[in-house]
Amino acid sequence: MSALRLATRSVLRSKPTAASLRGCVRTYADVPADKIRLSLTLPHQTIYNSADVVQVNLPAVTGDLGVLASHVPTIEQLRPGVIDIVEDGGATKQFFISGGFATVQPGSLLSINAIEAYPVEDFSAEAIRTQLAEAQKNSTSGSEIDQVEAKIELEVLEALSAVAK
Amino acid sequence: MNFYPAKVVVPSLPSLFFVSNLHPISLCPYIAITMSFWKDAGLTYNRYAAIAARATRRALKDSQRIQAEKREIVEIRAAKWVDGKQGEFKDTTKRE
Repeated sequence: MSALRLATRSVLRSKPTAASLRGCVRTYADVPADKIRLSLTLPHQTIYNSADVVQVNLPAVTGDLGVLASHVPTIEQLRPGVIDIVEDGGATKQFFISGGFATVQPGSLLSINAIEAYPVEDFSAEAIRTQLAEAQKNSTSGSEIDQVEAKIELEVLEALSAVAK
Repeated sequence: MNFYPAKVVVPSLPSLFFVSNLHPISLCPYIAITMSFWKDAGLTYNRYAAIAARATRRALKDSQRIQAEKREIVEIRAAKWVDGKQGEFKDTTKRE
């Protein structure tokens, strides 16, 4: 009996209690003053996992916005478009996302969740053109659901064709 | 004496992003952006996001596209059970 109690005691001790959690609270001093900690995640892949970058430009539904250090906390729905990530050292990476959400949390933490994101170089202009033609055809004929789906695809493809050469 | 650890409630990500049936126009009276033409037609955000993802996958170069298209394959067979008996399998990939 006492052995059982000893076992449960040790298990309980390893679980975080309220008191020990207070000591583990993440402080805002973790991120360097002039950077944002970016996490760009897809359901199947993590592109950036808490990486410190200088600036991120996002295509939000309400407009384009650039996120720098100490940005106001916000939640933005993203439209299909290009994300520019200016990394430490000046290199800029561009990813085309199909849509998702970006959350800026206090302390310069930015997390972007998207369903699909690929570097802009991975898209083929030929495939975009054929898709565009088909979507334009479908957007004016067919059932209502088909038309709406074609309109969604048009939105994505028009944003893509502006970027992929 | 058992001391139970304090409950830590972590809000799930979907609950932070889900806007339910609030039409964006009602939230921003000064911005007349109809971003929800799909919402007006009855599509859910999940469906919209899936269609947008599908369009981006199809626009990839061949080297990437084959691997990406594998993500679109959904195989679910569903059957309704009534009174302990399995009903017919329904095709869940079809739109309702």
